[in-house]
Amino acid sequence: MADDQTVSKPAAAGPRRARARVNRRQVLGSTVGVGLGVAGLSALAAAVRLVPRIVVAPDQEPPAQGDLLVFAQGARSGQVLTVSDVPPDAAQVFAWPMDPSGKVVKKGDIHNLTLLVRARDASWYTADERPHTAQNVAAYSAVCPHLCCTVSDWRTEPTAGGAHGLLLCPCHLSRFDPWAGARVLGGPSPRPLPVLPLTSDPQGRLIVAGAFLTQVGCAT
Amino acid sequence: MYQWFEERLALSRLQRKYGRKAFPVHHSYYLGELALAAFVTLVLTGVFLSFNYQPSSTLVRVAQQDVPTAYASILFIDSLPFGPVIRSIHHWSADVMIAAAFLHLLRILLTGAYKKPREINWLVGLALLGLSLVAVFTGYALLDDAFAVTATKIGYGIAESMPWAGAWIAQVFFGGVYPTADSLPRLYPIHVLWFPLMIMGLIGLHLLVMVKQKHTQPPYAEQIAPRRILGVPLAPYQLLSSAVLYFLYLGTVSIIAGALIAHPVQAFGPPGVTTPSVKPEWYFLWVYGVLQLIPSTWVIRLPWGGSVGPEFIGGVLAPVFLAIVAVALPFVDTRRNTLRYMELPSEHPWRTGCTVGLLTFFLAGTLAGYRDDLPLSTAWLWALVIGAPVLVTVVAALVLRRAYAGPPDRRPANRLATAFTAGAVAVVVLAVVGLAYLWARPAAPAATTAATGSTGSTAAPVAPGAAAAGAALFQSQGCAGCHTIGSAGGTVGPNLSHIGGTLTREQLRTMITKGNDGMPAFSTLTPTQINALLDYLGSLK
Repeated sequence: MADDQTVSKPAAAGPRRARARVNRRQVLGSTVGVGLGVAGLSALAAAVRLVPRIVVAPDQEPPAQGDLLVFAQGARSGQVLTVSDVPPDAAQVFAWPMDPSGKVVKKGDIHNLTLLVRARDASWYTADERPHTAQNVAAYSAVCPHLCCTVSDWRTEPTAGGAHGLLLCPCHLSRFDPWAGARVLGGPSPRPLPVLPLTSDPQGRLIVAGAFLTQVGCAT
Repeated sequence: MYQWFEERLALSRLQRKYGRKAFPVHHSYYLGELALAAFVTLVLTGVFLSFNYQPSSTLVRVAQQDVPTAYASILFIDSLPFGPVIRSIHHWSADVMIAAAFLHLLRILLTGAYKKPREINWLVGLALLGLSLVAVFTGYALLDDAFAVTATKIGYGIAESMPWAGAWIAQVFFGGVYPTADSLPRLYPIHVLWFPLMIMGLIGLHLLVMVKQKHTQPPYAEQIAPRRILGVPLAPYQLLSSAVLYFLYLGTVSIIAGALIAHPVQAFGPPGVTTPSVKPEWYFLWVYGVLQLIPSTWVIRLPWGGSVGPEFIGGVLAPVFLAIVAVALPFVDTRRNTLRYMELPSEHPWRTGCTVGLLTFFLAGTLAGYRDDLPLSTAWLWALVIGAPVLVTVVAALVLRRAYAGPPDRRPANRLATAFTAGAVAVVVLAVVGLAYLWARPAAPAATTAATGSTGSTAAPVAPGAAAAGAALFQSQGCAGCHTIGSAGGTVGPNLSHIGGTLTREQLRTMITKGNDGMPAFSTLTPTQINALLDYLGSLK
């Protein structure tokens, strides 16, 4: 067909006609092109909205200053945690933050899950971590920065300086130092666990002193 | 009856045109059919499951326990007559489909059937394997027990780790930051509708292209009927043998499913706050092993705010690298081919060697997945994952070349050579594993001694006094963050378990005060502190 047109061109009356002439194939081609482009843009606009709208329910609010901490599991699940509930130099205790006024336990978002450890002595903590602890209790996010598992395990490893407890993620064996801002001791985690600053009241209840210091979760 | 259809559909003409198509015969040609049999079974059992399953994570109370609705619906399926068996057939069929598809791929690879003109079907096959793996993964999420939530979190994290678009992609497929109420309603249609549809479409294309291009034939066909297709007619013989295969498969998998109920959700319980210690399915174990090996320091910043970390390198880059190699293969390997006949693995020693090396890599990666149970250090596992495949590739290729050198009548017997190759490969693998095991073993008793409460381990005895003070400094100054002594410490810097035997006191002093190649200078230490540290390090021999 294209050949026919090329052949017929000189025969069809003069240079003016030839210049003005747009060939049928070009019209069809550009129409299809524009059509596809519009369809593509529309699809893109629709695709952007494929991410679900984020609605933050009260129990999904992040921990805030003044929140209490409650047991996240076990027989005393939901009860307020005090310093003495966290065993020293032993496996971590899991906690949810709880709004002190509304009595809302913020367990609607896994990113609020917090783990608590307790040193036998304040000197166990590094100088950076110590100000964020309350009566030797430190709090970290329980979500492993590697691939989002809960840092569930506690392991005691012999070192030259004596046994040293460490936080272990069971998924890919990332290890964190509980006494040094949960820095990475080994394994694939790209970041330490985020620190949750703590304080305590005269009754020994643990109180959140501020938001997590770094971004919680496994997002890069 | 036949006449009724014959008058309307002209079945005999259809039979004359297509039914007489010759199908070459070889036992390895049934691997693809086995994968198809498993897929058909998955669809049939999936229909039953989908009628009873509820994709919702809203909590409901079952037997004094709050469990997700989806979890409760699995319990319901398990309470139905034949429910657990049908669910188990679904589970084991997924395993068979992956295994059969992979073996089918190996057959194509080893016999050179990916070469021109069969590139299209090679790519379609790769896509089918990839889709099947993702489909299986989304199936796991639907159980919504503690295991499923953990596995899906990891999948979410891997998807999310892709630079720039990762968060968007992950949130689209997982319904926000997993786990949310939107997650199961999104993963469910992906598992029961979109992936099966895509797989069905590609299977159709796969078969169509195969019929159009003709199947490869075993080499004997060339001697019997050169340049012609030698085989059995599609109908009835090939269809009959396919039916026999299908019913054999269904019978076998039913017996297995009846005996071994797959993944009882009660064993894992509803999702809680903690992570159960679980390993993925066998076909994902190598990725799991590689994920554990990538150190935390492998973070690369990219332009426009992107960055990739260890989870991307282990979870995306490693599989994608293999996928790229596979996709490129038919376009790189453009050697002359026989077109209609299978190439013998023995005639292509390097290709066969690489295939065996690939299998060794999968095995070594799987072994790395058992890192916590094995007395192997990270360095040894790295050597195993990288070194063993290379070694096995070279050994297998050289052995094959030697065994099949010279004119056919003077070669060692084919069977003998094949057995020899297999034996050599097995010996190499066993030797590497055994050596690694023996090498690492002395560390184990040492660690046990230390754990029982003595002042140090036998491998790293700590003298009282200054050395003990040095040991304390080693911890408080953060040395252990980068260096390992005995079985604890970081892996950024060298292992110092035996440093007293390799470096002198003065070399160590310079290293600590001045720093060296990535190690910072610890200039704030007092001379007394440095001497204590040197006493301690010197005692490690």
